[in-house]
Amino acid sequence: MEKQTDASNNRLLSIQNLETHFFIPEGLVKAVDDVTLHIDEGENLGLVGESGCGKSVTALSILRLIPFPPGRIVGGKILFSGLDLTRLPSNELRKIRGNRIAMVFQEPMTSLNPVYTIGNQIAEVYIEHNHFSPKDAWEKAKEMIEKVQIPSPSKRMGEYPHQLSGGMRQRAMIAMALACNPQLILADEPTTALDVTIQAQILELMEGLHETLGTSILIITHDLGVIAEVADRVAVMYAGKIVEEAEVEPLFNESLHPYTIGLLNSVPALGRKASVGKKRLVEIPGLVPSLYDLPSGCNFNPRCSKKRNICCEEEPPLVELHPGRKISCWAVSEKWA
Amino acid sequence: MKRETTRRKIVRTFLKNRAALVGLVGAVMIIAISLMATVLSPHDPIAQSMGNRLKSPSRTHLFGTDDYGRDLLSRILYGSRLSLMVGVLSVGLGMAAGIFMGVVAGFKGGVLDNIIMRSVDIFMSFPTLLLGLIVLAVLGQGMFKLVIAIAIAIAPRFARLSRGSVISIKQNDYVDAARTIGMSNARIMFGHILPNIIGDLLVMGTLWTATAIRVEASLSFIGLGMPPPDPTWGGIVKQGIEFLDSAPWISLYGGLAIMITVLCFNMVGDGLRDIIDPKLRS
Repeated sequence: MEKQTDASNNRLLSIQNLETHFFIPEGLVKAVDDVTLHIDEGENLGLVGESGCGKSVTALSILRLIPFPPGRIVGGKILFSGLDLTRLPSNELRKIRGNRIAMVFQEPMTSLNPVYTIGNQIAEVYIEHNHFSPKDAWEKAKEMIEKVQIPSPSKRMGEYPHQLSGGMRQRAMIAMALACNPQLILADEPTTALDVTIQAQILELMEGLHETLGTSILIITHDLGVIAEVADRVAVMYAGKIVEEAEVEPLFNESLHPYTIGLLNSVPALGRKASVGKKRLVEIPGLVPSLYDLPSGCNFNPRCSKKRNICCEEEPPLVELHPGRKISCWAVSEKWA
Repeated sequence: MKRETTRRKIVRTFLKNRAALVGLVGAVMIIAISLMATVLSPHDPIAQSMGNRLKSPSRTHLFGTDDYGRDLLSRILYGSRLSLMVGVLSVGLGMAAGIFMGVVAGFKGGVLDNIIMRSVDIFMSFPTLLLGLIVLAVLGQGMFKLVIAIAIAIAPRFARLSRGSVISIKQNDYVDAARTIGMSNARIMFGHILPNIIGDLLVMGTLWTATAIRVEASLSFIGLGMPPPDPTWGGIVKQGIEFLDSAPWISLYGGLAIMITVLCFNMVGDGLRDIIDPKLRS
């Protein structure tokens, strides 16, 4: 027990037993239900799952951006270099936001203020946190725009978001996120709204910046291809809980949780191999349960091919099979026990 | 280059609207005239000349004289200063107060929103003129009290409009993004949200300037405006009522001054609305 605490104090980010619930008329929604994750310095953690599994809420909880009402962090700790973000006073938290932890959103068009130039918006980050003069901030912003490889930086600085393409807007957002050289970036579906070719460019950019600046990235996505590209470790979420956690290669080559296996199988293959045999697209039977009407026992049990009796009665705990490999499944932990 | 064309396009659209153009020219002329009232006035507006009472318009007195022998043209010119100053100041003050309340109410929501908006409802249940009347009855006469009275009538409307706009704008992702960067609520409200809603507010501001001028004239007509002998348009109209048969030019020119000014500001406001609305909708 002590060892764990020591380790978590040395980590960049350590989320412990996080509970973020939403109080809506239909019932209590446990969007994040006892989630424990960590990110070390210099590593990228991927957070995968379908829409509505709680990945974005986890990221928003880190920066305490959950709108209340109706949502609220009701339990757990989020330690960032030892500081508990859940207990930090607002003005202290504001110093961390955009400065030591930054966020990149999915929709760059709506995440940029339409009435300010992108130069202004990036410069604002420098003015707010580093207290630069407007002139210095403008210069630094231009440097940042160059760093994210937006062509003709001087011209682009004075342009408004609607004058830029999707890929460029996303780069601008990344520039804003990186401005103060944060230790951690939360990237919430950063490439989902972009064309595939642009996706590739943006991912390359993020990886490059990760390598040169040493920033850790929490990459949240439902796209397994993105995870394979960027992440060092991966956590898979389902209905608010972590079901599997592993390093990226073992997860892809040897996934253990039935849900992870289902996810990987449902990715359609491209190319000639795919048309040979003309197999139907594999799907996970059933639907994601609504979060205020969860099944008893394991959340995944109604759709699981490896279901046992205990799965309908008790929720499986998240066990660490060996260092770095966690699984929440009765069938699997039984086999490995 | 791209941005200049957009600006030029906006100006061109405005100028194409003939009514707006006329209104703009008129308003600018009226403002210029009022600024130069002291220079342009041929006579002292309060200099009485009992031998010259109720003279009809002539070369020495282009608008005639009133029943104290004072030159009507000079009185109207001086009156314009008061009307425009009260009009602009009261709208400015009303806008500032109203927008502040509306933005805070819309952004914060909850109990604060309720308290502010229910107070606004109470004020808005009074007709503008009546509200001005009540406030003046309490505060007494004087130019700044006049400004405050009209501002109190105007502020609630701006509170309502800005609150509605804030509520729709605050759903936008860039508000969340601003919070993510670490902006304080105050900075978000007035630095990020306000610039996005300012369009409609400016249009309303122009239109309410016209109303404010009219209200000032009405209050002066009742006798609650600036006390004599300061010339006010409303006061001039009131004075002239007694002499409608013998010296109709008094009320006529006073009334025309009010009418033309209000009309010009209204036309400018309508022109602005035509530009801002389609742009917002697109």
